[in-house]
Parts: sequence; C-alpha cells; structure tokens
Amino acid sequence: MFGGMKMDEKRIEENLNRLKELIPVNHQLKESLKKRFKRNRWKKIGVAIIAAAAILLMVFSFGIKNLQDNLITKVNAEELKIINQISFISLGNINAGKIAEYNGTIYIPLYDKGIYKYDNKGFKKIIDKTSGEVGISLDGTKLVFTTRTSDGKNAIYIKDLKTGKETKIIESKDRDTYYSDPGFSPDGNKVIYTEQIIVPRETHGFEVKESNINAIDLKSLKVTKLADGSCGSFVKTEDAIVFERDNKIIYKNLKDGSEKIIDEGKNPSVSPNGYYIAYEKYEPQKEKVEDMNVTVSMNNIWIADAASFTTKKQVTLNVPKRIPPEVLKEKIQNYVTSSLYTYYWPVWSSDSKSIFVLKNLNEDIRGNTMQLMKIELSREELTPEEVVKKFLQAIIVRDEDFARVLMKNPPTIMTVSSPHPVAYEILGSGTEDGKPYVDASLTYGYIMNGYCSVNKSRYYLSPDSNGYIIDSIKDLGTVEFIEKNGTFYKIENNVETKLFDSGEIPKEILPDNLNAHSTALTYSPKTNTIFFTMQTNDRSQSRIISYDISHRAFKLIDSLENTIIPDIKVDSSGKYLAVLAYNDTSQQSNTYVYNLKTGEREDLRSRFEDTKIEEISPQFWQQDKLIFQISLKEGFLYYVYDPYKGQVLIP
Amino acid sequence: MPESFIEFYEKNFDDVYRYVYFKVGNKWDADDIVSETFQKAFEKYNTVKSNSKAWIFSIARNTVTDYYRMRKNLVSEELIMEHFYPDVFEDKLEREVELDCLKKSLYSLSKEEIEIVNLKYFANMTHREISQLIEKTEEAVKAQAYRIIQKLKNLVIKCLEG
Repeated sequence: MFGGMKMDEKRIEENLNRLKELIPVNHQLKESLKKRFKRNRWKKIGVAIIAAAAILLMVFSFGIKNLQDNLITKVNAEELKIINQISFISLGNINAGKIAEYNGTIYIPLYDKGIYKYDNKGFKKIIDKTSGEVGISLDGTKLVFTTRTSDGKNAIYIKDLKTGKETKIIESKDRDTYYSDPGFSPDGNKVIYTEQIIVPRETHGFEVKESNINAIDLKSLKVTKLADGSCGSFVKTEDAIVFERDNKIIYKNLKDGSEKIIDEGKNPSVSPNGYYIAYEKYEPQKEKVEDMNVTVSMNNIWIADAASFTTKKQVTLNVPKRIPPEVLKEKIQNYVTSSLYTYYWPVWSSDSKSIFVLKNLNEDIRGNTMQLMKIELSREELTPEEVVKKFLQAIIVRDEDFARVLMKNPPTIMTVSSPHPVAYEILGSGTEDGKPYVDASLTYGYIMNGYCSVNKSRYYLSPDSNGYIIDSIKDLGTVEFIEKNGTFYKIENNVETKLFDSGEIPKEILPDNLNAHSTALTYSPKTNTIFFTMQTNDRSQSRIISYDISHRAFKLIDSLENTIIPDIKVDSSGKYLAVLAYNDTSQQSNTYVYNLKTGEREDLRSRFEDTKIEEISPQFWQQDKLIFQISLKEGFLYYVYDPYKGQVLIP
Repeated sequence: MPESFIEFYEKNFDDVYRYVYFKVGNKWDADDIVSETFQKAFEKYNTVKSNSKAWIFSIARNTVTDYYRMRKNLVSEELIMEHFYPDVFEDKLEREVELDCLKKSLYSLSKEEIEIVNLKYFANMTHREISQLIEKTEEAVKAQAYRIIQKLKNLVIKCLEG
C-alpha cells in the first residue's frame, strides 16, 4: 500500500519535515531585507568601531512665519519664549564635535573624519583635517578649527570659504599643549582660543597644569593672554569676553580688567548680536522615591543676559533617568543618578534666534544616541494652536521630551507604536467655559498596508509661562479606511461602508488582467479623497490612484514599473502627495512629490549634489512642507521640501 | 562577543518565514509580516537581554495578529480565523497520497494544535522555546506535541484506508 512502510509516529514526523520543505521561503526578500539591515549596521554596532563614521545630525526646527523681527528689539533673557525644541531620537551613534552655523548652513566636525558642511545641497566633507571644534566668523566667510598635526602637536587653522585656502595660525610647541574653543572676534581680526597644558599624572588620568584664554591677532600673529580659564568668546559691541573658570560663567571687562560672575555653569556661548549667553548648567536635584533619597545630577541649558546680568532662563527640560526596579527593591536609602539626557556645547545660530545643542541619551544601550537639537527662541508666546501643532509634530517625530514640555501632566511613558502617526491637521479652535481648546486630527498609517485612520481630538489648554500648555485631550472619534481583498471600506463609529471594489477602477487605470493588491493608503480630510496604491502580485507594476469619495471619481496619479511603494503621504491641503518608492531592480529608494493638479513629479533624490544617499524617505507633512530624511554612511539628515517654491531647505 | 543582528537574522529568517507563510497562506502577506517582524526586531535588538528564538517568534506572532486585527472591524471573527492556516499546499500534493493525507489531517486539527505543529516542525523550535512562547511548561508542550503526532497518525491511517 504505502510501500510496505509502517505508518508510525516517526513516519509522521518525517512527512511533516517533507511538508516543511514545501513551504517556500522568499530568498529574494531575505537578501534585500538583509541589505537594508547591513546598510544600517553602523547604527547598532558598538561605538569603538564605528564612532568615527557615525554622526548625529537630527537638527530640527519648524519655522514660524512672522517671527523674523522679533529678536531685533532686545529683551531680557527671561522674557524669551521657547517656540520650538525638536530633535530626533534613536538614530545612531555619533561622535560630532562643537559645530558652527551660518545662515542655514551647519559645519560639523566628525572625529577622525574631517569637517562636513550640511546645507540644502547635501552633506559634504569640506575639510580633510580631523577636528573636534569649529567656529565661524560673523560674516560667514571664514572657519576656524583645531586640529592635530602629523607629529602629534596641536594647531589652529583658518579656512577661507571663498577661496578654499587653509592657513595655519598657530602650532603648539609640544604635544602637551592643547587648543580648544576657537572663535573669531566680532570684527574678524582676532581669534580667541583656550590654551591648556595637560600632562599625564603618574598613576592615571591627566592634570590641567595651565588654562589660558588667549587672542591671536590675525595680521601680526601676536598672542595676548586675556584671562585664566577656558571657553572664551568676545562680546559684540563691548570690549569684553565671557568665559568659564571653576564651573563659573564669568564676564570680564577688558578695559579695566574687572570680572563678574554670571552664574554657575560650563561652556558659555555668546550670541552673535552680543545680547545673550547660553551655557550648560549642572544642578543636583533631590527627590524622594518610595522612602529613598534620590539625587539627580540634573543638566540643562540656560540663557542669561550678556551685559546686564539681570535675568536667566532655563531652555531645556531634562528628566531624571528611570530608577531600575531592582534598585527600588533593595531598599537603599540614598541613590545618585543622572538626567536622562545630557545637553552640551550650546552654539548660537548666526541670527541669534536659535541655539544648537548636542544631546546625548544616557541610557544603557549599546552605542549611546547623540543628536543635534535646535531650540528656537522668540519674544512672542505660542498661541494655543501653535502649542498643539508643536505637540503633534513632536508626537510624529517621536520627540518625547519636547512633547512633555507642552503637557501639564505628562504621562510617565509616551509610547508610539504601530500604526504610527504620520500627519496632523488643525481643524479649528475656540473656547469652552472660558477654556481655550484646539481641535486637531492625527492620521495614522502602517507601512506596506492598505490602512489608514484619522483620529480627531480636542486639546484643552491653559496659560503658562511659555504661552500655553496642554491640560487634557478629549477623543472626538476615529475614521478608518481599509483595503481588504481588493475592496475598500470606510469605518466610522463601528459602521463600515463599502467605498468600491478594485473591479470598479476604470480599465485604463487598472487593467483587468492585473491581479493587484494595495500597499499603501492615505486620506485627505480636506478633499475627502483617499490615495492608494495597487501593486501586482509579482510586484512588476504599481499604480498610484486617487478616489474622490464625494464625486466617486478615480484618477491615475502615476504608474511605475518594478517599484514597491510602501508609503504615501498627502499634505494638509490635499494638493501634494509624497511617495516612497523602492525600485526592485536598482534596490534604490526615491521620494517623489506629485503636484496633484498638474500631475508633475518632483524627484527629491535628484536635488542633492556630491552626497551619496543610501536611503531617502518622506517623514511627514508639516502642513504644506514635507519633512524628509536622507541616510548616508555618516548618519541621517533631515530636510524640508517646499513644493510651492520648489525649494529644498535644511530644517 | 554577542551575536550580531545579521547573524541572528541569518539564523532565524527561514524558520520565521515558513512559520508566517504557513500561518497566513500567501506570499504577499507573509513578505509584509516577515519584513515588519525583522524591522521591529532590528530596532529592539540592542535593548533586549536575550535575543532568543522565542523572542523573535513572539514578535512574529504579534505582528500576524496586528496585521489582521486592524481588519477586524471589517470582517467577522470567523473570517479572520480563516486567514490563519489556509491550505498552503493546494494542488502540490495530488500525486503524493500519503502527504496529501497528512495535509488533510493537519488541517483537521484545532488551531492550537496546528500552531504547535507549525512551531515545532516548520519553525524548528524546541519544546523549551515553544514553552517560553506560549507560556506553558516544557513538559506540557512535550506531552501535547506527542498527543498531536498520535492524533495525526490515526487520522493519516484512516485517510489512507479511504
């Protein structure tokens, strides 16, 4: 019967193994996915190997119109409001040094790699010499940077950005003399820097024998000592410097030599207009957690008035690191910990309106995550609408710490999981019992799925020192859109309505013989239109299609071959559609933006010069501007695309 | 030196893929679910203490559930269950009477029993790994797996005898 073979348990097991072999494994997918993880490998490998190459770079800001002039009139530091503070998390190990910025171009020293320029054309190395600190002249024409010479001495160079010429202005007499914090004087004729003599101790560690703040005249190359201390900067319009000594921020009048302590802190940076000083501050914060005395060494960035010393303001909101449960169990009396983030090396933007800060996540994960954060300051308070906008942006980009700042009683854990938020829209605002509220929608989506949901919520706000703060959030309902086996549905209040079958799509858009399924779906509340893709099961053809629900009208937006479309995103006006497209043949990702009226397609990859892009993907629409990300060997960079002006900008 | 993610991926991909494919019954959903599973694993790889096989399979199981849960409002529970363990072998076994009988027998098992078969035979998991995943003791899994094989044997014999 069956070959005389006895049907026993063993035979069942053997046959189960034969069945197993009949289950196919998609080896193509296996290889392409692997490539993706390999490419991103630097994100995950220990610092030692990759630190040199890895950089952070998640600068972010969301510009607000009508604020251009708000810092022209000088106000006290404490009157400045934080209008934005955004960075990105979990994006890699970096080892960036002290940066410099001029008019939207950021210069970033990457240890062991050189100095890079990050602007709207891409990310490009402009200086081969390794450096940890760079500064820029007030007119943006010259960089000054520290470097090591081939024989192990230290030097300071100037690079003329117009001619490209690099000139050494000083070299140390020996290897124990170090230079740091180079910066130009406001007139550009002098460079201020710290000179330290650091010698190894007999047993271990190092000792700073001497720390001087010097200025070098660029014409005569004559060096003058200005003070004992470190991290000095000139103050525009004053004959004065600000520097650090013994964990104090000091203002020194160079005319009479008098000194005044501004605050306790480190690494001061004076704004180019000479009004403000930004600095790091470390304060012990004591609290009681379940009978345990917890001391948190809390680090934040503060700003103070440069000349009048009248006021100070804290501009970051750090939180303590989580106390491990095993520590709580042990019933220890005193516990010392640090803050969750370390903010350091504040640097002002050339317009004196923002501070760039390096931000390090102090969690015990392999390869700590470092980012570059931009804090925007303004005299004007955020309106309730602006607060909700910032909050939703922070949720979308998963910037938990800024989202917390905007909430009165932030939850301990703010998790964002699948489906993840991809877009938001402000729907309206008003007052209820005298309390201001803002209605907004948040759109959620899954990558590689025909699904999208739009959740409406009402955000209640109350006044606070920064403008407004979110008190509570009320759910106003959710609408879902879903494709299942070629049929599209809308679900609202648990009632599902069939929208259409893929068979109803006109043949000129989707021919009969194409057996296809949807890989991405999104909805525009403004135009009551869904946007979706249909991809043939062999992945050879993809169509991007819109369906106007009110008019029951289909429209073909584009037809692509051998292309997988995992993600589409529509802007809040419903006029532009951003598409992530993976070409199966070239294994390359592209980000396209379609003008839905004219059908024109913009390929954002083509906007970059001399930048080796590994991946490019749309992140979200900030109203009518697309925030997208490019990833490079060195890290991730964020960009903004304005479809109305056709411009790519850095955030 | 801890195992790198790529090594972990290489070691587990085929098993995860077969497990998911057998569960959902088509390549397209399997591709998407497996991609998402490893993406999630990749993101969390450094934060988990032990990157075990049970761990990746718990992600895979949750991803499958999530994948269908979002369609839940749309289709009945029964219809969802149909998505789990549809016949993946279809016409491939017509000439192989014995395997065809095994297949039919397999699909007549309860969902929980098929899950055990899938994890043990198609995903190559040990009793211990399965026990970590489904929160039973190792002994209970072992006993249940044995009973399933007994049951399959009887079903196959019946089937072959026509």
